[in-house]
Amino acid sequence: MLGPLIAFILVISPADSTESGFADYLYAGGEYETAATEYMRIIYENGGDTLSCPISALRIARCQQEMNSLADAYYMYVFLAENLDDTDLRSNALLGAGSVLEEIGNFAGAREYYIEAGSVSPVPEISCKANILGALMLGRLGRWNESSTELAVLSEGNSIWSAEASRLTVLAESGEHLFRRSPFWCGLSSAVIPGSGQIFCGHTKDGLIALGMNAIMGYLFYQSIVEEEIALAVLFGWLSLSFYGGNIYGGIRAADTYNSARERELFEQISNSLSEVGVGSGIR
Amino acid sequence: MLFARWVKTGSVRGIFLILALTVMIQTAGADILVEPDFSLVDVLFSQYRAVFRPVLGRRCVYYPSCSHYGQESVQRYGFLFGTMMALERWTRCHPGVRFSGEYALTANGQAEDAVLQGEVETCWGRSLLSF
Repeated sequence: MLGPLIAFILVISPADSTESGFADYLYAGGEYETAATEYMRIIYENGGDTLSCPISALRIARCQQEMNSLADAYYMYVFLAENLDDTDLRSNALLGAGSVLEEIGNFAGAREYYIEAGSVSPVPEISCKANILGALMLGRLGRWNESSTELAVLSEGNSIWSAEASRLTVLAESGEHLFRRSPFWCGLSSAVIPGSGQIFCGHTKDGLIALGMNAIMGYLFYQSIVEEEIALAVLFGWLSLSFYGGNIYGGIRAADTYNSARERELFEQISNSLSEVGVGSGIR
Repeated sequence: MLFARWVKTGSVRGIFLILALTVMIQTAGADILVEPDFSLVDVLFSQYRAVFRPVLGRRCVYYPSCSHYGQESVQRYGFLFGTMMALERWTRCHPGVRFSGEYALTANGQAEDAVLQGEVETCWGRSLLSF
């Protein structure tokens, strides 16, 4: 019963002309280095033309990406995106290039690739997915308002990705109103009352320790002056200043940490939402 | 002042002398001297990690640890500001940090807190690639 079905799948699948089962097995098992070598062997056996084995080439680029050779992965994706004729494969290469740029923090560049992938892909699901990623890149650039507007437009449809865009619109709107602490005001607050900036950011223990250390060092400095202990006065004077300066820096740092934590929470929510839809269904 | 009297006593001077000798002997065999561009700060922080940290038996809750953080701060921002940063990190190094939820945790359960705070690392595109 299953025989004809498997034969049918093998006939319609665009597998490279040389058997890539072992390479796929390694790839699925996360053995990216060995898998990349195996895919290279397949390309070599097909006459050494990378474009004749596009799936193997895409997988090599992905293996490089997984092994954190991001520059190699990027150039491979770009080469495939520029030279492949099949629009489906091309859109996947563009998605790959975008993901590499996203990984290195070039969100504007990543957005361009995602949007291009969205416009090139003949598959509505991949197109919608790429456009969603493009919209999310606006959020990574701090433009959550525009991001939620784009996502709202993408949510007008019936596919699974439209429903996802609808969920993400809500999250992007919450990104717009993400509660933040000002590093400047927290630093200033710590300068006036040591430790207060940290306490405002919810780091109560850090703030109280900073207050205590400043009070102790100030007292020891004062005592060493009163008792005319010059060496100790120099030592405690320097320590007092260092603790005081550190306390102001701590206020600024506490605000940055607070903001990063809120941002990370939002990103985790988005990641969870995206993982609910799952990884794509594979190249057609 | 009590502290001044305590420092002046011979026994404390003796302890400092022993510690200084330990540092000198250990430095002579330390790998740091093999490196061509080491500084006094590198030596001091390496000494702390090699000699004093095992004695104190203390494990930093952060990654990178306070000594690495301090060493990098001084190297990057100079002695004055680097010391401030190192002391500030030291005052907030307590076990409660792990459970505050404010820091990303490493596989060892240490709170990630580098000298240079970068972007939050997330790559949505990579997890959605369909090949």
